[in-house]
Amino acid sequence: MNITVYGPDGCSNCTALKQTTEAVVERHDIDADVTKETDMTKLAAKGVMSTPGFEIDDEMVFSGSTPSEDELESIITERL
Amino acid sequence: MVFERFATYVVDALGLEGALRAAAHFWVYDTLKILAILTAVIFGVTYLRTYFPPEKIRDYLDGKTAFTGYALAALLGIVSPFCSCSTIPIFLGMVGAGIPFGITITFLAVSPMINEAALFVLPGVVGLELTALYAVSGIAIGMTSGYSLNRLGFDRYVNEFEFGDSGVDIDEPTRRERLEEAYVEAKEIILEIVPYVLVGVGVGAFIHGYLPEQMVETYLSGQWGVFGAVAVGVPMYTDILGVIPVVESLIGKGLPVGTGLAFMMSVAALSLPQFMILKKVMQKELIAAYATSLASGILLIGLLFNVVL
Repeated sequence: MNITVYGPDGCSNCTALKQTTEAVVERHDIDADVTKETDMTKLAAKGVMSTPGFEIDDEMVFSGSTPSEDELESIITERL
Repeated sequence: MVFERFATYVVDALGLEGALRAAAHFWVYDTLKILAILTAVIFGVTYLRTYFPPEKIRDYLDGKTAFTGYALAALLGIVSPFCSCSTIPIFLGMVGAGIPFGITITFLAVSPMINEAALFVLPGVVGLELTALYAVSGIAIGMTSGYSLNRLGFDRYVNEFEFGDSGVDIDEPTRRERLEEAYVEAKEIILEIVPYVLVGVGVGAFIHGYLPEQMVETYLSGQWGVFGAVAVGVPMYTDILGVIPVVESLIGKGLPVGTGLAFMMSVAALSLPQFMILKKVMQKELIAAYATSLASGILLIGLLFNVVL
């Protein structure tokens, strides 16, 4: 699974979201690549206007909010 | 005010005297006052903002002509997010959706320059008059910059990009969801701003207690001070709420109001990290023109108010 967190440098929510994602992935031993995309034109290309954008395998799952670790965990695990 | 009394109580209890007393009083009082207002305002604004997601802002602006569009973009810029890092995706979304270029620039400029929390903190700190000047001139600068960059054809320097369709469903949240969202966002924003406020109030307190009025008089009171304020303020990256206490104490020491205003606005509107983010979505010609038009607008406002007020 590929997880992409979209967010420019300087957006602390976005950095935090990536860290939480990594923690979830590690805890459940999920085979996933977590990357951060700082090029905002790529986010615009997805039609999204709020950061962070959270994408799993080309599906923009949510944007503009930072769910709690538990919520994030269920978002990721239900797509396994 | 209860904060005033508390600050006095603290300096009394510590047995402070003279300049140190003045500085410590300023620090305690301003920190409490700013943080209290900030917490209330940010929570209120983040709640209201759940009614204005970026997609809605974009739709409001779509199809608006000339003056209405610019004025609306400026007003929406005021209530938009605090951090320029979240303004840029909105800017791109607007450009992608075909909102006229000048209007998107106005939005991009006003958004960091006029901060809604600052609008509530400022009256208690520098007075209602300066607050109104700050808001009106920020809007004027944003609108003028957007309009002129548009007329000069700078839209060709926005990087090409595809604007896609989002797969995310945006459904109307319930009141409970709005409150939750506002709570989470407000908490994040406040935690992010607090260090800037503490440092800013610290610098302000130092100035208040120790900087001789003579120095402000000698070095900062002339019209050249406005140029200096803008030159220092533009590259600087800090939160406007951290600048307010510094400007407050400088004005208290005799800094001309226009110079203070120019400093505050240039710190808020432009910064090096912001240029880095902009560089990814626009070419350097546009960034340079954008920075120049905002900086010269701020400069003019500062010079003008120093003469008029």
